[in-house]
Amino acid sequence: MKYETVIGLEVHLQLATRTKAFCGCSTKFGQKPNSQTCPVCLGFPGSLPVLNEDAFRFALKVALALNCKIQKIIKFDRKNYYYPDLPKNFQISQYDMPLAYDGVVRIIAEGAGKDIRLSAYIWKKTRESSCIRKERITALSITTEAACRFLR
Amino acid sequence: MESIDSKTVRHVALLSRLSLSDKELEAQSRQLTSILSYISKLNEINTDAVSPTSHPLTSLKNVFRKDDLKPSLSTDDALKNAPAREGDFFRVPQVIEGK
Amino acid sequence: MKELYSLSAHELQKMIAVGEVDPATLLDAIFDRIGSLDKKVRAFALADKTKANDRLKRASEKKLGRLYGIPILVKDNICVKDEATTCASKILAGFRPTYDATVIRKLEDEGAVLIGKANMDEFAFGSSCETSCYGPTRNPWDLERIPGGSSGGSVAAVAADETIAALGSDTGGSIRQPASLCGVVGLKPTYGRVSRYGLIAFASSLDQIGPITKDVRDAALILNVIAGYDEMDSTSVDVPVPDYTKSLTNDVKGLRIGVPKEYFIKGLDKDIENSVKKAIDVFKKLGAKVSEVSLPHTEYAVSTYYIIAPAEASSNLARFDGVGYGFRAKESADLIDMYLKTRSEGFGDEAKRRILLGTYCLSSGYYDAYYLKALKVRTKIKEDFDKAFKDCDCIVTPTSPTAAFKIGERMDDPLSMYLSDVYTIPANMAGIPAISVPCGFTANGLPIGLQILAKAFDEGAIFRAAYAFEQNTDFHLRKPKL
Repeated sequence: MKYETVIGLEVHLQLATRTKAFCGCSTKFGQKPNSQTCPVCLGFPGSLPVLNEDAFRFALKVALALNCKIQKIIKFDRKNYYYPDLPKNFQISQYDMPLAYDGVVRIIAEGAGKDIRLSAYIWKKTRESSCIRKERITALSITTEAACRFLR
Repeated sequence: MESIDSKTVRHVALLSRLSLSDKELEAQSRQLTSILSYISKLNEINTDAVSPTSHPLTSLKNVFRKDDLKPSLSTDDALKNAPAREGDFFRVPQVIEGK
Repeated sequence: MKELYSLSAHELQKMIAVGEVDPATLLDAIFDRIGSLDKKVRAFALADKTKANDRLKRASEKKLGRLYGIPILVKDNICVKDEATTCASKILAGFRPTYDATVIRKLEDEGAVLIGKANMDEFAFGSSCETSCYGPTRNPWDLERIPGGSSGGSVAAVAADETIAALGSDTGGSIRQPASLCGVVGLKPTYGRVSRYGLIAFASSLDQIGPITKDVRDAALILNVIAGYDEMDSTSVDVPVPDYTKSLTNDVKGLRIGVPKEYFIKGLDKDIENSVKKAIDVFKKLGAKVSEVSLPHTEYAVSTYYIIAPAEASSNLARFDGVGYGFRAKESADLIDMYLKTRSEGFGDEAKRRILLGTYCLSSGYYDAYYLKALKVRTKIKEDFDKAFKDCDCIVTPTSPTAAFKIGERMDDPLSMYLSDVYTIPANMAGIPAISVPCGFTANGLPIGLQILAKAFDEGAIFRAAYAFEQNTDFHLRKPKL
């Protein structure tokens, strides 16, 4: 049986903001567990998220650098799943109206140029650390089309 | 719109991390069927050319927060409502039993 | 000489300002009243006299605010720092927020004295205050009957003079419907008028906090304090807060009032229909211009709501999982077992029903047919109001199709319970403000409410109409015999 390998990439970039995606807590790495938290990032009842302006600007810069078209209206959606490091048991992400689309980067593969198409969306990512409650950092997720195909 | 059977209710219950006794399952299936049947009224309206309203605010305006540090809670305050605490951590049962 | 506890906030404000009433004496009178009545009425989830006195002391130590010394009760889904805040649910047993809701901070900045937390339907799921884990609150007009819900405790306490005023929350009618069933004033502000920061969310696109009071002037006074932009709430709107008391002119000459024909249908109690029609005559006599309007998608409001609200609730309630706060089931084999046991033991039947309904409507394969469809019908409901408000300043309707029913009467039939919200739901769908004011009594002495709606951010028109109606009738002066 012949298989075709199809590879696309999903690249997560951490945006270098001073504070978290949706609250004013510090993003400083390596601090004591659960010492940089507040009702918002802990998902305490009654708390509400407010988007970090710099996170948005940085994401826009990356999207433009990757030759993306920017949506006129973007939307955040909730990705609902249960896990102990996800305080609200949903992740604030983007589904059908993400930040940017139709971006392209040109690479050299096997001696020839190749265009890889991609899109970008903003989400609140958990950053690996020793804490059970992980840091809520703004991330940009850049997803390419199926970029490489190999027939064996 | 269809009615909802016990198998579907059990599946939806698991998605929302609820476990129902047989008695509860029967009662919820019955009541949800009655509600969904009433709700199917919405099929009477043609909404092909209608855009959805997710929130009632008419003038959309970008709302941001400046990237300025605000005081965080102390670790004690963050953990004071925790049902189980170990040092500076929230304690939870292991993800899979025995692993 | 009237009892202190029976007075309104604006009357007491004047008396406190000239030293005629000592706020400590007022607080004593309120707690005596609570002590003698609440065994019967059961409006309170929490009442703490010592803490209330401490709060009064703190209020007295700073510049005296617009609500100095006024006792206020808040619904148990509004966070008060270090005070038990449970949404009348076992799953939040013992939860003490680390912060105050914005509305609490605003009230206390103006010297109001929090006296406790009011009973409610669990997580605001209900129209009768029967789904509370603490048991039902009783209607002060007939203790065998429900007070309405979900802000049943807040409303019953105001009706019974167990508090001077209260805060409730309204998602599909939860301030207005109980206000009408208990003969008091209840206002749902425009969506975004009052901050939701610290309100434990039910349906984020529908919820609003609002005042529950003995008369219209008090509602205006409290709205003046709690309204306003809040940077902690992205849905809070930066529109200036006018002085709503300036709308209390007792003059409705030329005010254009619309009466929607779709609201006078089968299922509307005859006594209620008659009272509302008499109320419309009062407006005509006072010089308002009354005309018929049409809100053609009214009949779809309940269906739309019972998709959107449970869908949003199912997501908002996912956080109650025994990890960070509240109840955790004992002896779980592993994490998923802990989630299942905690949520199954912690939530009541109605909460589970709404979570199941909401999750189903959002799940893969059903999202378009249910949730997306409902959002589109919501647009149609909103457009109905936009069109109607081109020709009128206010819309007047009954608040509830029936008066208070007996405790237990509808608990086995959730759908019949849901239908009691038919007149109140559309305002939440469209995000517009609406008030309920007392407008009569049924043949067996139960209160009837009149609902007045206006365009977004036009609470002024509502206050103008409501105040004129109130000042030219005396329904608001009658009290239950307790």
